[in-house]
Amino acid sequence: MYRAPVAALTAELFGKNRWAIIGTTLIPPLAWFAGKAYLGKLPIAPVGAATPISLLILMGCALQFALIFAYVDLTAGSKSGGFPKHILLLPAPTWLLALVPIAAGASFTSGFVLLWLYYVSGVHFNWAQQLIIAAAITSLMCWLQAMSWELLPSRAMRIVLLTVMAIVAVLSVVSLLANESENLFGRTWGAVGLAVTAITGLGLAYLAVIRARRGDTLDFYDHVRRILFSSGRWSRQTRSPALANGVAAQNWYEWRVYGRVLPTCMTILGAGPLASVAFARIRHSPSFVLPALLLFLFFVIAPLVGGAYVSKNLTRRVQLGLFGATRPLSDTEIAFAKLRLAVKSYLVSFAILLAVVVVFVLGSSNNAALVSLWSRLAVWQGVTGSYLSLLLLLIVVTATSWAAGAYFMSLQLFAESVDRKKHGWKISLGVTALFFLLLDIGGRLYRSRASALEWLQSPHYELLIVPVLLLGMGLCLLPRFQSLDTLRTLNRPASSVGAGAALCLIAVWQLNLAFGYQWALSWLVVTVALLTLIPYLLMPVLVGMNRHR
Amino acid sequence: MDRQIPIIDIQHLTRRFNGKAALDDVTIQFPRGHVFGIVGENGAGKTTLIKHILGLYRAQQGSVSVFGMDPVRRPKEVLSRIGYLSEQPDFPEWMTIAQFMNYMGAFYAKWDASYAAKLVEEVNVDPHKKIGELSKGQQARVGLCAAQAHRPELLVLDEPSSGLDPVARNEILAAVIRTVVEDGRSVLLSSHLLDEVQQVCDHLLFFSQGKVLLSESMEAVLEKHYQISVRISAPLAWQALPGVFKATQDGTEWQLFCFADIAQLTNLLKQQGAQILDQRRLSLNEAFLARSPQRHILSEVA
Amino acid sequence: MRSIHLNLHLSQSSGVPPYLQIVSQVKQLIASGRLSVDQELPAIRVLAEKLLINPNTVARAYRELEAAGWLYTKRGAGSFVAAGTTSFSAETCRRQIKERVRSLLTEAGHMNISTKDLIKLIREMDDAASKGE
Repeated sequence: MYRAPVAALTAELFGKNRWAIIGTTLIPPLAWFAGKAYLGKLPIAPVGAATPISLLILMGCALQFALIFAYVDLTAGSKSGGFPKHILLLPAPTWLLALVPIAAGASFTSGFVLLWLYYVSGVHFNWAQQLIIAAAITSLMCWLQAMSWELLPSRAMRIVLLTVMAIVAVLSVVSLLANESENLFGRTWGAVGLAVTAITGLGLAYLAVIRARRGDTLDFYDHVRRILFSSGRWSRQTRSPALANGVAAQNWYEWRVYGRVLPTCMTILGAGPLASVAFARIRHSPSFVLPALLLFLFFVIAPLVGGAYVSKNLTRRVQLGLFGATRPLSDTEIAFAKLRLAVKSYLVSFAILLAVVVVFVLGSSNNAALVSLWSRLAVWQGVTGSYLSLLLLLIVVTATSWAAGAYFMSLQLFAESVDRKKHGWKISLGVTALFFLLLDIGGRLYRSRASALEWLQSPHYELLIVPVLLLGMGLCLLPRFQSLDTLRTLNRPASSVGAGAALCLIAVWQLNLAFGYQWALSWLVVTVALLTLIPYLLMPVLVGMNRHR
Repeated sequence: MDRQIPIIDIQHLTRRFNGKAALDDVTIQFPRGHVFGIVGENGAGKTTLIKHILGLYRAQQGSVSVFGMDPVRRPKEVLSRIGYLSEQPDFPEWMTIAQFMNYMGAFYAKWDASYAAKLVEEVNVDPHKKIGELSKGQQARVGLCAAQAHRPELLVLDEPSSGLDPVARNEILAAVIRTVVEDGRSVLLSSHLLDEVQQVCDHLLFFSQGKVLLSESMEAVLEKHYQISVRISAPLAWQALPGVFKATQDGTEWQLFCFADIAQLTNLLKQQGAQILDQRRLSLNEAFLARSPQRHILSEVA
Repeated sequence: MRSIHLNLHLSQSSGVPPYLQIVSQVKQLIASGRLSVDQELPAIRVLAEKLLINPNTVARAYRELEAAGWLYTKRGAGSFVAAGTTSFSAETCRRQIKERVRSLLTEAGHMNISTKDLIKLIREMDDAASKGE
């Protein structure tokens, strides 16, 4: 009886989003495996697959799937509100409309997560544990869908509620999976927590779809809403600040539209590690891997944004459309408003992450590992060297974090110039894979610097084939790039940024290491920094090209 | 304000999309203090022309000069003196009306907040409502308030009445008149609703397939467009007749469509031995249809 | 004297240019006495905003009326109905009737009704009308 609407919904979910799904499913693992295969050729001792970075990619992909199946677009300013309207008009009962996307999304995402954990990360769970993970993912999907239907009027409230639920879900899952001895909450509480999030999530998702379908006819809900939200506090959002001039107005606009996305993502993603503070094992011997990971979590932003562009249903964006382009501002002023936004949102996100890390460290109430780490560093580099290394680390982290932020912002502009359905995913997933690769390579170089040094003493010119090919491609594109008629040529150089990054890296390796290992590392940092700055530097040009076609 | 310098000066503007010319060697000047109507079928190039004026397109060939400046090079100076309402307004839907007016006001030095408030009040909608919750007509009217509130030297309206209710349409016409009654201010209006164009415009631009068919004052267009029915046995070289741009033949009867001094033309025809059966003025609609390069034109036009 | 609101009605489809419509309607108002001598007409901008037409159209109408002697303008004060328009009024009325008669004759000609029959018809209708009141 329900075959037709289920088929229609499935076609909608999988059909329209197929490229996003395919891209997110295939490209990160492929990039990961390709990178490993490539590195396997180098005389560097292979490290186990369960690196923190692979977990990072996993989180990014899982979140990506969740967003696709919930029709949520986290890239701010976009038209939120769940499904496209024509789905609501399908002749299907409401519970079916609510259930099918949840079922599809949950099963797909859980499948992906579990397969990744098994094959890539090498973590083996038994059936019961896998079911628990799947249940947690399902409840998160429910909540995401419920929130995307604007069940609550204020966006901030929706994010907060989602974060709280995410924390509860993660806590519950870890309680259920961890051993009895190390368990803070116990298995029963874990089960209760999971059940609560799952049931309330399902209920809310159903409620949300009802409301969307029949309009605001649930009287009790409106009554509650009026009571809760009629006070002035919630209308704070709609107050208008005094704006002195056009530049101030544009800054206000950019922040309102885009500014809270990165900090929001950081808040949500910080929920996991905060939850893990509760564990006995973590309390006694903290692993700094996870907090350090957080600092690199910006990478997940790029796939979040890029892959989502592929979905035909998530293509409504706040762009430099007619409204944006006809602001009485010069191109530089618009570009600087966007740059200012990028810096500001990065700083806020960084502050949030630092707060999470501080809470984490304080919560673990043990800084023994921290002290030993510092003493080891001092022995190796000397005290000054230790401080310099810290500074270097901060620069690298900042630079690489800016990278994702920059690509996120510039993707907004790229999206105007390029056919984002065709090329948006290419840009972001390629860049993401590349940065993961860069990071992994950097880490391995550091760990195996002795043997790497030895290998690199003699030049390996066959590695130059790739950069020469890329250079040739670039030169061929140059005359086409001149023509303003087809801005689509911009997407090719944009995609080639990733390739350009690989080029720089290979150049680093081929450097004459008679100058010493530190030089190579410095060059690595410089190229990464340049690559992150180039999009920012290009932004005024991009705005100009975007605005005046 | 020197009335001699045209407010918009377009010289030999050509624009191609995928090889097809959306604008084909367009040359026009818009003098100050007038209401210009651009009339054309869908896809004629009206919006493309307007986008060139706003600096959203670079001139591939030719030049565009607004207030004596290149709108691509100096977008800030040009756009701060223009009030613009696009065909499909893409205002940020999350902003409330109050926020929107506050935001827009920051850009213009000559923004009159009390005037803006008065205009918004006339729209009669709660200023704390989000723009996304308004109907299309209300959105257009709010957009119009924002476009007028800084008393722009040039008001540009791109097919403003498309899909709007009569109240909203009336508001738009009122905005046009309100703008042009003040000295030195001009309006550029593109539309395919000829009634409105006839009502408020004093200069008319017929546009079709990227080319300018006609650029005349409204008076001239209304007074000099005629359809003359003549009977002549000899073949008629109508192309040689001054002002005749179209002719259809039915045996010995000819229908001539002309834009000319009617007395002079009828004399010429009589000299050639034609018998004038009927002459009547063309309405704006008929004139445009007659001038458009269309193959099938209904004999009965509204 | 304060200016009154002119009750003008412009038709888009009549084929007559708007300014001419204004001119003829103002003339009729003056001729019929609804506009008295020295009465001020609405300012150009006011009338333009009210009728939602281009002020140049109104300006042209006022210019035509002034050139023909129906209006006079006082600098900085506006346009007023000129005196001595009674003769104009009579002239206007006669001209209007003449137009009507002309079109009536043309139409009768098309229908092959002779002028003699037409006059007979007019007399019959006039008698009927006066009997009926």
